[in-house]
Amino acid sequence: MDSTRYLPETSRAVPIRVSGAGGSLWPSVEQMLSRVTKPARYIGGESGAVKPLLDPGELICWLLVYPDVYEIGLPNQGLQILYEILNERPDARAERAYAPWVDMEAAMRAAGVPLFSLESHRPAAAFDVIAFNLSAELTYTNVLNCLDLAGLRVRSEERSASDPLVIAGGHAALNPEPLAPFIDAFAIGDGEELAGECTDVLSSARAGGASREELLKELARVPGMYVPWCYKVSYSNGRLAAVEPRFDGVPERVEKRAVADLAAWPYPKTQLVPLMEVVHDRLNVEVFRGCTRGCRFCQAGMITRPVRERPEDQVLAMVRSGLARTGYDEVALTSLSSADYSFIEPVVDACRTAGAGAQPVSVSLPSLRVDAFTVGLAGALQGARRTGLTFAPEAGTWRLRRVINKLISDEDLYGALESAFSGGWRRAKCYFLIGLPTETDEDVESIAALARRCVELGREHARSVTVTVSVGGFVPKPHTPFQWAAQAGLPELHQKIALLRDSTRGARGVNLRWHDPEATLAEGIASRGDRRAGDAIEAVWRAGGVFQEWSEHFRLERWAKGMAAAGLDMGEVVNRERDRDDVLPWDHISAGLHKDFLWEDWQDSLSAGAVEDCRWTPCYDCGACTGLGVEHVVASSSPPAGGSQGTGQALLPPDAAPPDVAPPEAAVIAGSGPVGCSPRVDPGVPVMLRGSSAG
Amino acid sequence: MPAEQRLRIRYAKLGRVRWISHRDTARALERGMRAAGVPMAVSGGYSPRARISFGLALPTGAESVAEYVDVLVHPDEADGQMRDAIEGAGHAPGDLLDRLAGALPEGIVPLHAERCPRAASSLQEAVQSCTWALMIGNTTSSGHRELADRIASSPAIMVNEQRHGKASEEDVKSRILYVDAGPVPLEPVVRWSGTRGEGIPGEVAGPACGASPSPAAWQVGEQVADTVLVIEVSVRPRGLRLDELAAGLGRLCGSEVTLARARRIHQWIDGAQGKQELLPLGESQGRALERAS
Repeated sequence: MDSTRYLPETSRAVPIRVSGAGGSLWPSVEQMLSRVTKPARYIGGESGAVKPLLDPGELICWLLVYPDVYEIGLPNQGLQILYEILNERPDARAERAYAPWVDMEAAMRAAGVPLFSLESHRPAAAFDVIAFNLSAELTYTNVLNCLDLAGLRVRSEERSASDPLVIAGGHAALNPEPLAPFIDAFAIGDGEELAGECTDVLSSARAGGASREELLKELARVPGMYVPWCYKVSYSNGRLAAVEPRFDGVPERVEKRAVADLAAWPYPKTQLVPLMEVVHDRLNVEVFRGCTRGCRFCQAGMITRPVRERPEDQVLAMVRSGLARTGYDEVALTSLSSADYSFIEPVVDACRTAGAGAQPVSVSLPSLRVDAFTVGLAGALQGARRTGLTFAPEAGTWRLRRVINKLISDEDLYGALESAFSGGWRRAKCYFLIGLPTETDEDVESIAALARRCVELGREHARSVTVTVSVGGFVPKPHTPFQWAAQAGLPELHQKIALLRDSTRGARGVNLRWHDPEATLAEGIASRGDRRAGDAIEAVWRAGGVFQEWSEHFRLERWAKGMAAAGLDMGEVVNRERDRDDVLPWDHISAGLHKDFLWEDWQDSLSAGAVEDCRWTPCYDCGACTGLGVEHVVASSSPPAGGSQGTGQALLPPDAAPPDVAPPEAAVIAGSGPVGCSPRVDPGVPVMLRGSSAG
Repeated sequence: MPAEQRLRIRYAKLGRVRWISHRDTARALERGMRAAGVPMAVSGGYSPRARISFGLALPTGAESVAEYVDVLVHPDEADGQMRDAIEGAGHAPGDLLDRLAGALPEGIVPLHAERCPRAASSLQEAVQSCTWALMIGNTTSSGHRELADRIASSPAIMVNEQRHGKASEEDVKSRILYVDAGPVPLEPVVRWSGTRGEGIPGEVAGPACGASPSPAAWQVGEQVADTVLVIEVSVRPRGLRLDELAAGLGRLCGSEVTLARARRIHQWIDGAQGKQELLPLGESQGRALERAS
């Protein structure tokens, strides 16, 4: 990388220099706490956390960092799983850090206090590995800021063997290129096994006195590890031409890792119980991983295939021991679409009485389908609480929902809302995406019409009901069928929002909320860029752009300047539709999906051709099961009550069904039928990213 | 025996957990009671809540060995040991305090539990005043003694107030009921067995916080003092906030006064024999506060 590209360090004027290796920074940290907001972010001491250990000796020490503020990062299940797995190893030790909020960062820089762990309050640079969880692309500038706060050079090539190894993993790592200049190695896919394998490599490297380059090459040989330094990137006519291995033994294509059996990984066993209020502040138990509903916009669903369910008895054991240990009175059964879990009804029933005391346990399903069955389930499981229900129809018309393969009919939505309002709810929230492929003004206006109709339905049950319509700009994500699609431009998104504002004006009971299209644009850069986008990200950070998913800290101007400084064109990176022949920046990373499968699905989508859920229907050969040698682990051979994607075939007009798939024999259940996903029960999370997520 | 009983619990908040807010402390206590198997009564209605009520708010950053919480319990719904512990509360805290201690975050230490009449006035209504031990920033032991004398002999302590959006001045001298300099306060020594949560090795015996039981001096940064300010302030008609007090002392001294460390050590009520402490700790009940030898 050409070092002349560096921009002057302006805003980050106080360099952090770490002296000495190990001791606790707590006395210095504590002096700052009376002057910052929410000091509990920085004290550690959660139930489930390991005890401080100031002299770890020969242990391989990991610092697991979530690059956002504590109350967003703490509940992250991926980080907690790795934390436990590493701490169970006799040769490893894991502690945690989160991005300090801007007031704390200023105090730390003023006092020369580097990024620290929450357990021992040791400086980040004293750890052997700093590992970032990448759940959201707009946190990328925080990754750089955390490295800088640790006293490290942000560019991988400028760090030395005495510096910690910098690893990153998580969903966003499936396009590692925008962060490739800064990260030494990416972990692709499930981390349960990789964490241990990396620890082994680090142990041997330390024992053998390996150089940094030897260590990186060794890591690149671990299946699922991507070491950017081991790959040569070439460009042609300003476009990416190839990303190729530089050394023997380095794979041309890095395949994601997937654990075959979730039952072998009953983590977290001792979920962290925060001392301050955080998002998802409850017991969280993962009931399955992966999703095959096939929503074409949903990166999470595409990259986590196949579906692997946790056995019913294990879920219940985790719920019981978790409630008894933590004292929570709420449990969330988590997955990408929890109503699809084979044992959902018996598990929900058992959870209700699984608490220690007389108080009933409330159960939440963070991702619900849009159908009456699911609403009935929600009524049973939330007990008397009727705070609000959330649905994600994602698009305003049935035509467009077929394009995105979110097979919910208008009647499904009305049926769900009818059930909700008659069941005592007074507020509902509906998520929609705008800027979807083939979207017309009619599709957008239909969102408003749907919302009005929903309010009318509610009025029959109560005088005052509200339906909140939350719209986000669509970002075509890597490894999805829409990865070739053009992201809608800024004027287009603004125009669509204006259209929605006009068509909901004066509509009683309809609340319209939307995400900032400018943030959607920046998310497009970080999601879809190649390695050169790293220069832009660095420029944004150097100009002071941290916490970019927080609207009060986001300014598009920094991204525009950063792109210009990096010599990149925003329209080319974000808004251009890719051709079949284009080399995509993530082509050398495999989520297990055949590129041909994704391309065919992309072509099908353009003719509104829908596909079914392969959990219960014939295989489409997407590649996830065969390529990874991992199969669906689904106990139930038939879809859950209320239908499933594609099994309510009456809703699929004959021309919409793929010709080579025989219609399954499941009965259509009136008033329910096919489905979607996803109430998002996460009030506090900044949701600019939801364009990528099925919730 | 009535089905529902009211338990009053005194607890300490020491060490790092002093940085969690009053609201977070309340939530931690509620979770801790549930995890310990305390059979809390639950309100009816659309949103069932545990029937638990908290006393005066403790400012974030301040410590205490005199915090209180009231909780309604259903002894009939508890396991046998817990039922015995609740019935025995006030005489032999035993298992109740031990089990709570194991379920609460490190630094939140239950000290005493007592059954109290259902009709007793609430904590918020009952408490008349509280006593603080304060370590003033950049002040030595003798500095604390001089400050105590100065407060005692000063005719007025003026603070600026924002009341109903208007700035005004108020003399708060009359709300300072007692002031002196004294040794740093005692801390509970925690002795419990078992584990702090499943699979997490717990401390078997040791100080509630810090490196040693009840240090003989407080240290904050470079500053060390074995004598600190001990001051009792009235909470009627309204509480005198610590930051207001610091501002008042700053005006008195003509220079900025910061609180390096603050710990509530008593809360006082009007009892049958006049002024008395809520759930005093002693040899026969509760956990004594001790100084390490």
